[in-house]
Amino acid sequence: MKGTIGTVAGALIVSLALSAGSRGEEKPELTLKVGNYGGLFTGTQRKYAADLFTRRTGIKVQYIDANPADHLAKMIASRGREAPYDVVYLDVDVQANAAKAGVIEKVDPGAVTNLQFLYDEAKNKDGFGPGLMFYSTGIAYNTAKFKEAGIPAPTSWNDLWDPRLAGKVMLPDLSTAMGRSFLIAAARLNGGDEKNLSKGIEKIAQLKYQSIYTSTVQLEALLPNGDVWAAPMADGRAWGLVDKGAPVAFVRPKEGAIVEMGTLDVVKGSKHPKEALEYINTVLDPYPQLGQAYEIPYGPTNKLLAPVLEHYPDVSKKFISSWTELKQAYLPDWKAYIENQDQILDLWNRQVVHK
Amino acid sequence: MASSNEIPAAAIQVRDGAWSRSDSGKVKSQRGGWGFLILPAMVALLVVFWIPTFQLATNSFHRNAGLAQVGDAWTLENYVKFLSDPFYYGILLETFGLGFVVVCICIVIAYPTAYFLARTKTRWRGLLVFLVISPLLISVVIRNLGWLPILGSSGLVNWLLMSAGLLSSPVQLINNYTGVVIGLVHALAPFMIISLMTVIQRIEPELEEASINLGASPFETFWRVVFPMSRPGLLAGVLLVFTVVLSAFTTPAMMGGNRVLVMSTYISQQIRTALNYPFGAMAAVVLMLVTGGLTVVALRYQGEESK
Amino acid sequence: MTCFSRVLMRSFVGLVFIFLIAPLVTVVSTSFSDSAVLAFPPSGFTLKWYRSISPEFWAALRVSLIVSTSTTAIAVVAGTAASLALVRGRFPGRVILSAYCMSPLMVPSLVIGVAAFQFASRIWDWTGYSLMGSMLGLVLGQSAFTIPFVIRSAIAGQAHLDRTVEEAAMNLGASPAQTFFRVTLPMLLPGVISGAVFAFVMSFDDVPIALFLGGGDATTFPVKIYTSVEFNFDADLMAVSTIVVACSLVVMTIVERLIGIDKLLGGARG
Repeated sequence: MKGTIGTVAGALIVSLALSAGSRGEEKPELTLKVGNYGGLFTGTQRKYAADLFTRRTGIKVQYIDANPADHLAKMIASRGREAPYDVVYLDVDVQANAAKAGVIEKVDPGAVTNLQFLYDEAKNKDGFGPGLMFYSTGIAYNTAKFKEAGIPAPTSWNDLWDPRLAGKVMLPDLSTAMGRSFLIAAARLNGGDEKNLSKGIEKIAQLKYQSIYTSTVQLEALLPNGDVWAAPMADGRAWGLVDKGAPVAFVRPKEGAIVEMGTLDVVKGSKHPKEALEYINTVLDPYPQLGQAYEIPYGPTNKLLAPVLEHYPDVSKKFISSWTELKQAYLPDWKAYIENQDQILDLWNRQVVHK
Repeated sequence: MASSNEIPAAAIQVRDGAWSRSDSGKVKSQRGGWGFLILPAMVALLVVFWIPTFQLATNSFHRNAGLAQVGDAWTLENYVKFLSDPFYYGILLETFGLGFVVVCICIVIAYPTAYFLARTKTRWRGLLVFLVISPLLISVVIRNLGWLPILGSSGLVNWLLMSAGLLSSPVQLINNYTGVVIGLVHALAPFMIISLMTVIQRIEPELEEASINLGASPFETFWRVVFPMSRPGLLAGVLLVFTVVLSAFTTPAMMGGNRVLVMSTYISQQIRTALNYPFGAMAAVVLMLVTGGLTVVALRYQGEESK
Repeated sequence: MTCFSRVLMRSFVGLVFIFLIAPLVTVVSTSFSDSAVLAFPPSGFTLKWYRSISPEFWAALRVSLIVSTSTTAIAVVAGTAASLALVRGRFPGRVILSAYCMSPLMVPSLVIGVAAFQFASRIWDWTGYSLMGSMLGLVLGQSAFTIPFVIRSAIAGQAHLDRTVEEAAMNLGASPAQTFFRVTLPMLLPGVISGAVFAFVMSFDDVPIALFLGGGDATTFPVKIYTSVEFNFDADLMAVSTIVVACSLVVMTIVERLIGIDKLLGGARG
């Protein structure tokens, strides 16, 4: 253990020293505008990525927080004119929409050297921005309530449809990443997949859910005290509850947890494309990736960290931390997903949403 | 204000004999210029309201050309889709239904309260009226915020009901239709109360006393004396509450958790989440026409009543 | 009324009052409570939420005050002038213009917000200037209802205005300008002020327009609370809301003493 830590620490120190020495203060007073998610995530990125970037390059980073949909709307509205940001953090399916709408640029592997260290799955097949973190959607459940009712721990997505759970399950709204993932999981249970999502809607319509959450905060308020017994939830947030001492456990269903990514993209029309790529490269560096993995926690996409994380199972069990786990999970084709998203939203409104 | 002593004499002069002179003489320059004062407001409203609304209507006649984009071809398909598909016009009907429910509950709440406030002789009356009105001047967002600890699963109501043994597991009172109804009733009952109160105040108490003396029960007195005479205030209140429910956005969004689909939350979903601008524009135009029509009816009615 | 029905009615009315005040009480009590924000009954007494109010709320309050004051100022100037024209002017099309000026009040502010948002996009296409996410955009967007508000209120305030006083002043030798500023304007003031107060409150309270047109640096206070409820819910929301409620109550009491709130609600809408 000591040896590995020593090696990693040494590698980090060396890389930091090299980068600090090389760039310095050659850039004039410049601010890079970055669209971000907000809340804890922006805070973490500032701490681990932005500050590092500024120290290396002298360029300040300004975060502008909003929902991914709002970011997308802004970028589309400003097409052909001055871009609202230089870099933007987008959920991987929003990224697919952004690529389709032509508002983001492909990234140059020559400038983003860390691309070579990423899992293949984290790289965008069409050359657009890379993923910086993995999060998977699985099942979070209240262990106390399950024990009381004599229900065994869930192992499959189908367990959510257990009649004993009727009225006790909270569904994620379609507008959230978890909602999209759950829809895909439901589709796969019903003989469909991301190209055939209506099968997922059909299946979900059969679930007797208690309510729908549009933000994980709402689920976090109800799961620990047993108002809700089970729900599809993102791994990092579920483990956050466990760490706080709640009687909650998180399970990756055997059919495969659904993996989503947060991606980093260069906005078309940005006046600082070079600096934007440098920023992206910084976020993918080992140190920022490690910090984010530890604090949020979401899985880093940089392969270099895998051996380190192996030695810290308490931390790494909370997210996808290795190639094996990645292979067991299901990574959807988001381009196919967005093909019919209007119809799917319509079906969701009609069949799933009710008083 | 002009001082009291000199003016009356001059005013009498003017009133009695000098109209024609003031019409043509000194005051003419005053009279002629008034019209132009409307220009600032006219231009301002043109830019901030009329042109945007016209453009919104235009957008509704185009096709959705992908996310956040409006297509080029003119088409009626958005409206056709809305009017022919029960799911879509069902949203409008749901909104009407919500209005109806809220109005009914408001009537039940408002009548006794308005009657009490109109008839009470207590010295606390001013304070009580203030209490009725004061929630209105507190931001609606804050008021809805206050409902969360009361209606939540671990909140006051569920705690009371479960402690009293009436419930074994919490009942869902928020983030659903019930929550929206509660929020809207809370926001709009004061309007109904004041509307009824003003009208009941105008009914002479002697009429009610006479009715009781003649042997009618309090309920009969209410039904045959108070209710008919308070109808103008009731109808004004009903129209007001109903129209506001149709247009309401903040309360359904906050109390329904974005899952209660009424017209305004649906429009918001289309514009902000689905980025389907033309369809959202169409729904907005429909909502505007409906609420506009209702308000015109309400104004007509108010106009007739005040005669 | 019999004793029983009187007691019954009083209890019912009492419950109604409790219902009306309940949310305000919870906001205040939760802001001092130590327990989880959505739990009841509150336990413990602490000022920690007040100490940890996120600076973003103060920024949002500042934005709200600036935007609401600006839009009310515009509304007062344009609206008073327009009300004079509509009451005193003798020009063709007065009825139509009256409808033109007051129709915005019939339109839900959500629709105004959506229209303004889509229009701002168009303007951005044509001129390259973006009104979205700017306070100027909010001021303009909200003017769509603040101006008509003041117009309506100022017109109502002129209903019993005695023009003969003005005639008399002119007869006594005052110039039209003097008459306007020293006689007419003071008589208009109550209607204008009540319209201005209401316009300010509605602008401050507005969510739809500020939500669609604002954002980023131009986030108003209600919008900040609204988005926080979804994504970042902590009891400091209750603390800052209590402060705002306290301020509103103070202002309300002052207004009540000076003007009388019943009159304000005379022609108001929700």
